[in-house]
Amino acid sequence: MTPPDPSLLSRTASLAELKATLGDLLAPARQTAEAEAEIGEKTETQEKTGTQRHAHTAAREEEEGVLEKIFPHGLPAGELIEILHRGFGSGTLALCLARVASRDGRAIAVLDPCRQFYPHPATAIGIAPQQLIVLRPKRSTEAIWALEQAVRCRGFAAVLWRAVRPTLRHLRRLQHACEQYDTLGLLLRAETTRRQPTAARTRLRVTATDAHRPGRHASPFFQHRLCIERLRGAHLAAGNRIELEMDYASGTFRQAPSLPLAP
Amino acid sequence: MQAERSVRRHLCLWLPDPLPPDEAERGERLKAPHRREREQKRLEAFALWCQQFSPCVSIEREPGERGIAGSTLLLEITGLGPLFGGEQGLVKTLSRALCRRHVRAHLGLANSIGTAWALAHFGRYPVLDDPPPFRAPAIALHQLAPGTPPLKTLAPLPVAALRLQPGAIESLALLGIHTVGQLLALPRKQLASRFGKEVAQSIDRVTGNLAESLPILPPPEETSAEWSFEFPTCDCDLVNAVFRQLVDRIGHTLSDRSRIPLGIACRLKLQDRTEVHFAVALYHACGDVPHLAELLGLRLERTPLTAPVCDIILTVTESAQQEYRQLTWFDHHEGAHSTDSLPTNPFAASLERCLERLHGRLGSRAVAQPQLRTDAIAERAVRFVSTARRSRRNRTPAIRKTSHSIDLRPLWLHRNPQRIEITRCDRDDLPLEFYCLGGHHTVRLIEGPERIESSRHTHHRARRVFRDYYRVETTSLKRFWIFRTARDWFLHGQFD
Repeated sequence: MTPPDPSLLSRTASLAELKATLGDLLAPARQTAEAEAEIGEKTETQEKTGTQRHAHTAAREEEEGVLEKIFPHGLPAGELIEILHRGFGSGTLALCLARVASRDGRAIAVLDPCRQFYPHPATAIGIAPQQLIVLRPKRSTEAIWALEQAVRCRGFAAVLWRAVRPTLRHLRRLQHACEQYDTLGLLLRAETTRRQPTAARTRLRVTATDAHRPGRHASPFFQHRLCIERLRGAHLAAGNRIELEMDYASGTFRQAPSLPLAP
Repeated sequence: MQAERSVRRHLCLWLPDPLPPDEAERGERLKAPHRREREQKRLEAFALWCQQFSPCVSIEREPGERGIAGSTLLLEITGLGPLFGGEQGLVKTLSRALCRRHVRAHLGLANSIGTAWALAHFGRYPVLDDPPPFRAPAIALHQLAPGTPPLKTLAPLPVAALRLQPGAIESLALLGIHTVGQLLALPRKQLASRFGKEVAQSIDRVTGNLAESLPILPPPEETSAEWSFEFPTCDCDLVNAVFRQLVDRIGHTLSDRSRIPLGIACRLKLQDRTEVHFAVALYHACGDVPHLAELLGLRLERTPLTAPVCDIILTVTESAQQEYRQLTWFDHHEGAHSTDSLPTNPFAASLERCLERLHGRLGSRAVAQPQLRTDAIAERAVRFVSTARRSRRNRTPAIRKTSHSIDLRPLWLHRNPQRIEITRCDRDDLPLEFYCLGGHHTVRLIEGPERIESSRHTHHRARRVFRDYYRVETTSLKRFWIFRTARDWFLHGQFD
């Protein structure tokens, strides 16, 4: 441990004092070309960010337009929505609805007793990982209890579950809890259960269609169409049926354009 | 070897600055006596905090005593090195913890209390050739190896390093004796007669020839509450009512010390002379008695009891200082956005309560948050972390923001890939029909391969992965994520 040179210390201290007084004026002059390049880079970054923001806003507006067609009174945040699915795509649609409901920063609960939920698709469609809470109860009684607790918590914007078979009594309790605590309940069930009674105020049938729209993406797996059909509920003003186009590359959905009629 | 075992090691902490105040104390303007009292309390709390590094901690000097700035603590660390990975490990851990608390300290490490004290307070003088093992701007370490003679090392230091009274220092200065070396050059026999016993004793304290004792701070009292039933009971409602009473009692005891329970351990003594232990923990110290009792009740529901309960003992495992915050009207509306443009949950407190209940009933592993990792292998690219652990470690989310991935991944991933039976193949050996999940599937579209391979540096053979993944759409409009290894085909996930 050698003591620092006192003259060096005093010089450093005086320099620091000078810098504090003068601030940026003390910074050395830079080459004009370098400064110009830096300004150019900054402008380019700002333009790029602005374009991205514009695209994001446009996609969001488009989504809101579609949601208005499905739910003319707005997304029913305090309601239990039962989604009867045939084919793929219903889970992603449910996550999209949960994302819209959780824009205020509230969390999303996923009840996953089978321990199969994989969060990458959720993050790909724009849900922040810190918003996701995965509940993995071991017993069915615990699953029902956890579901009710999650629905009754105002901190959750949406609660998504599948593979749990609540009874009609439980569903009725959940529907009431959703209304009371302003939570969106999303129940995924197979289409084969449509004959079973339900207490959900809204029941939608979501069917994957095989109409691929070529050209937008090289891979047909990045985009697909879903047909949404109202079975129960006061929503879906634009007729009983609407077709959506899910885009996995951008994580958005829009109304599917109708195919041209054959002459 | 025998001599080394008998060596005692002491660590002296000189805190030249006053300890930083708590959040509640910030901004307070106190008069001098109150300020001094508050500083003493802060030092006591700090000494108790230091007991995590050594059970023997004593306050050697109160703030500003003996005309030296700051305060001094002494820790006996004899034999504690192996617990921290060696003596240097202990010093490193302590230094990091001090940095985290924003405490500036000078550490002195030696065989005797006197030498450690001298090194901590006057170690800035060039007496040590060895560079310190840990460099931090706020921490200075001066140490002496066990075998080194202390007097030779301390010779260039001023006589004040021997902890002499100001009068003795002045009389020595009048005679032109300013350093320890000059004092040691005088005949030993004359020291006592010329300067009194104090000088000779302080030299003996440095060498370790004179034993020195310091009052060790007692550890904080354990806060617990106990209830014995007159007759053993199986009634959960009764046990829950007792929980409420006991938690209430604990809350009152702790509130006298301005503390709030953060974690409670429960011990149930059963009629068959067995004991059941469980614990509950909170995210925040809330002091809400019904909520804590509810958590204990939920945890009890999950615990099988083999016999009726005779006694209940609740012990506080962790407590926190009470915080006083001014209430704000616009807490979550304006400017309450986090760094990554995600708005703050307006019902965060409600969410935390709910998560605590879920933890209590389902267990900590059953309530998790995903943590994404940069690993190409699907099952290793995500880790589910218990929300309790995460919120204890860091309040801010530790997940880095992920960009929109162009790789399509299924929404439901099987924990263990399931072998599928290929019933018909095409020319390229790709499946046209296969059997899985209890049904036959005919392939309509297939896309791939996407090769995923583990690193060549993976040492465990069992963890090595070499897979060709395909996305498959069937005629029944189901999408699967399947892969091929050298021998078989497996189903790994389902798109939904």
